[in-house]
Amino acid sequence: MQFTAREFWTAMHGMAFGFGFILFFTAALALILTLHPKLLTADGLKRNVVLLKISGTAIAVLSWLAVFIGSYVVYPWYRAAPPAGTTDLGSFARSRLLATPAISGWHSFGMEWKEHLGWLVPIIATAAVFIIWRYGEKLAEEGHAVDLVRDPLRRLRARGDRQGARRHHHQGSRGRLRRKKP
Amino acid sequence: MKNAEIKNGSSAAAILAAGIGLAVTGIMTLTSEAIAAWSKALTWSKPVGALSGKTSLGLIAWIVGWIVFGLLWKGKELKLRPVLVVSVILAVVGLMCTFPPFFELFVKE
Repeated sequence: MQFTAREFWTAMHGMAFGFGFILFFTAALALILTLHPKLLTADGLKRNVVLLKISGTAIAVLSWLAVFIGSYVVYPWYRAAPPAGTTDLGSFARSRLLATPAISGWHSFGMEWKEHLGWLVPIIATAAVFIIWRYGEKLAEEGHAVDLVRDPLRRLRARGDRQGARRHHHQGSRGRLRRKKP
Repeated sequence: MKNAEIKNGSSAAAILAAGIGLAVTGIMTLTSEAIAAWSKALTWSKPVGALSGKTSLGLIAWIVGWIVFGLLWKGKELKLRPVLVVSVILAVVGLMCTFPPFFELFVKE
């Protein structure tokens, strides 16, 4: 099996860097959600943080590689304008998509979104990795890595419960008032 | 060891700088769609088009923001909530301005 240069770099962009990113992201998410002293022994906590540092760094490095290779190697092939009179648009993906209204959305929505959104990811990932390396095991001491996600959800649920209870109480008192009428 | 021993200034700077990078990338995207001359000016690499300038300016804003706030807040303990709120708002601006149905509202035909 042989790859052309375009196939090789496209595969590197999507399958090596992109898919690698998703794998390490899943690992980091699982590690963060279990990063709590109640869930881990002291040794487990140390190992969890080492793995989190590795997977976090991998996420950042892979996302930078994906956007740079994607934008500066693969994307120019994608957006290249075909020479005048070209009828076979097989090598001009953007023009090929835009030439058919039924599939033009893959460019005007899908690709347009991906090419911009992709650049936001490594910025966020780098900031996250910085914090992971800076705090290390201390991330788990007060469980605040998990609480950042869990606390707002708890507050929302508590607010919902309070509103529900108030509504129930209100309806109950109205019912009692009605029953008192002759 | 308690968390208080590590001051949160540097981390706050990293979070806020990320928000700035996202917002600037988003604003560059939106403005390049709205102003043709600006889109041309952002074409720093011909094969890549305006994407090269938009994202490079976003990266420059992110790095400069990180350096500036990193130096300002180094070794300081800050109230993290306002920094997080501002960063989330900036991130939402970045996400919204890079969402095609939104930035296409500003496209000049």
